[in-house]
Amino acid sequence: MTNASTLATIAILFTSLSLVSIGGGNTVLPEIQHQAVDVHRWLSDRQFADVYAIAEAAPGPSSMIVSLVGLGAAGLPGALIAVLAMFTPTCVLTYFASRAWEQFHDSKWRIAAERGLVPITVGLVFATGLMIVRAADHTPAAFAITAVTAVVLARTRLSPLVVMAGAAVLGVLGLV
Amino acid sequence: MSEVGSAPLASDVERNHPDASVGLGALASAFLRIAIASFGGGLSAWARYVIVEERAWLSEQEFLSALTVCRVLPGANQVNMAVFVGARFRGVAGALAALGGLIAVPLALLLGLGSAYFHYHEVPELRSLLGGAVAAAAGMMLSMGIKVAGPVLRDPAALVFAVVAFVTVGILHWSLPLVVVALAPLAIAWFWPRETT
Repeated sequence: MTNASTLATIAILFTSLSLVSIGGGNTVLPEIQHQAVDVHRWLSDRQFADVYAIAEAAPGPSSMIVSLVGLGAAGLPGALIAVLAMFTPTCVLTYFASRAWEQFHDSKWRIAAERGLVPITVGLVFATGLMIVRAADHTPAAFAITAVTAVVLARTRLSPLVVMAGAAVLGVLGLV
Repeated sequence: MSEVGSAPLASDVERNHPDASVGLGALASAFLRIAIASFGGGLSAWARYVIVEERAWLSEQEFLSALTVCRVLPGANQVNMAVFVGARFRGVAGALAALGGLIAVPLALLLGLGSAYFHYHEVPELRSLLGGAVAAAAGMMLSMGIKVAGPVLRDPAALVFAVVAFVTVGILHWSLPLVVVALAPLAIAWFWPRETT
């Protein structure tokens, strides 16, 4: 396959995955893996697992993993096209959603929607927290760090950076 | 709004949010801070910390409702949040500034790490280094829940919506967008402003 047609394939694949990634980038991760590993053979199984680990550990949104898939498939141009293709359609959609949300600023719809979405969001925040705890905490020390962080950040004015840095140091020292 | 008409020259945004003189540079730097601080995860907790507590750009209620709108829309939640917040204060330019702030540095970092990986075929030992940070990020997410739970705990109806959302998504692992699409109309109907104008 020529490089140009690889780039076109990347653009088409991630544009179409972008608009079906409802609920966050992670929902299409299995399909990204299937396409990159089984269908197009851009990455081996092992390579996909490795770039997933890199993307998860690095700061920023986890769906930035598409840049590493594009990088493995077609170098730097592949990475940039993958990111553009993955983010542009959803960003355009969100832009118009944001404008529409503002249009309704003083309407009863907007007032009711904000009031109604808050309790749902609070439930979802705890659901997400539980999900992260299940994925991250495999040792008693990790559970303790999670619990102490939650209480300290909720009840004091201490900067989250201080707490995160302390936890990272414990990790580096091999105590987690 | 009670002060409508008192400031005829003010734009809509300024009328509704008198303190909302949010510049492009401020948007970019705020989302850069959110991205960098969130190594190990916890992006939305960091977004709330920076946008609601540190900069006071959005009220608690505005932030939380925008967060769920952004989670239901397709795409990465925090990418959507950057566009949503940026667009709200500064239109297209604001959306691009916030988005650039959020992804430029992480993208450069990933491309560096990725190039090294494809060259040397070895994974940098990030995971073990980040063990503690990931556990703390989980704690930060829970602390956000604790901080915003107060008003919900005082309202039995709100508590029911919160518990149903938590149990269906967190414990039964139902699809988050489906749960929101089913619950939101009920919640909107329940919280419809009752006083007539």
